[in-house]
Amino acid sequence: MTDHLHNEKEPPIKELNDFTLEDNPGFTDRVNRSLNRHLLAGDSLEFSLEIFQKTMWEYLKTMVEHLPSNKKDNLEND
Amino acid sequence: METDEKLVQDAINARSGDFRAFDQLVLKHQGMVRTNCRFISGNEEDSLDLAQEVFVKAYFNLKGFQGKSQFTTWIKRIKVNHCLNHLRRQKGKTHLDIEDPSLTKEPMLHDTRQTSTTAEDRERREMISQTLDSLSENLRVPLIMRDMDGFSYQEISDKLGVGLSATKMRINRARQEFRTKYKEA
Repeated sequence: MTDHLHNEKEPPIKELNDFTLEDNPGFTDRVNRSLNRHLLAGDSLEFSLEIFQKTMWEYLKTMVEHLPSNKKDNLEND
Repeated sequence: METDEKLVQDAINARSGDFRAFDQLVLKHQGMVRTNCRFISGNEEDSLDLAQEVFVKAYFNLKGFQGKSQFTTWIKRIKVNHCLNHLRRQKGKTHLDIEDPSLTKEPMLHDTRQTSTTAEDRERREMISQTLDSLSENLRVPLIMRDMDGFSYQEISDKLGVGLSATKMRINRARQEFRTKYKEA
């Protein structure tokens, strides 16, 4: 991240090197709230996908169980 | 005080929703991130949102931080990319620029925390802020990336999509203008 000084006609601004604005006391809480929102959204999405997968799986299982060939087999077995 | 690397490990190993270790990282680096976001975006109101988004991005990518570089360097890269993307999005929008000093000063007025900063420090900060704000975006952004963040000319040139010699020229001009205006302030 450093270049040779001879590349620079005008020397760097010293004042900017350690320049920071005053800390904002509520900033950490603000970040935490945002992280919680993201985590909650992620959990909800995960839960919805899981429910969707389970529903689809049960639906397919029911479909397969009621296929005509299965019915035929069942009759033959009887 | 714990090192950044230790805090990153603690934050990764913490249970979901336990932000104690990450909070320490936010406390340590918020000043640097907020300052950069403020002067790259050139907008006080956007800077808090941008800084917040930078930390959220960092949190969800902590596992990608392999400790090859310092945490400060890593978060600076996330911050610069995020702020430059924000600037690009802003350029695509037409908006009214409302320069209302009472709005831009608001966060300072709400800062009721007792700090040890002297009036002299505050005055110096104010002068630097005013000088940076008076520079055009073309000069201000590369200057911040170089003299605040310590990026190389090549990295600045790549990130801004400007030629290397043009980048050097802009930084040189920005420093000259900064010095002149800072003296006047």
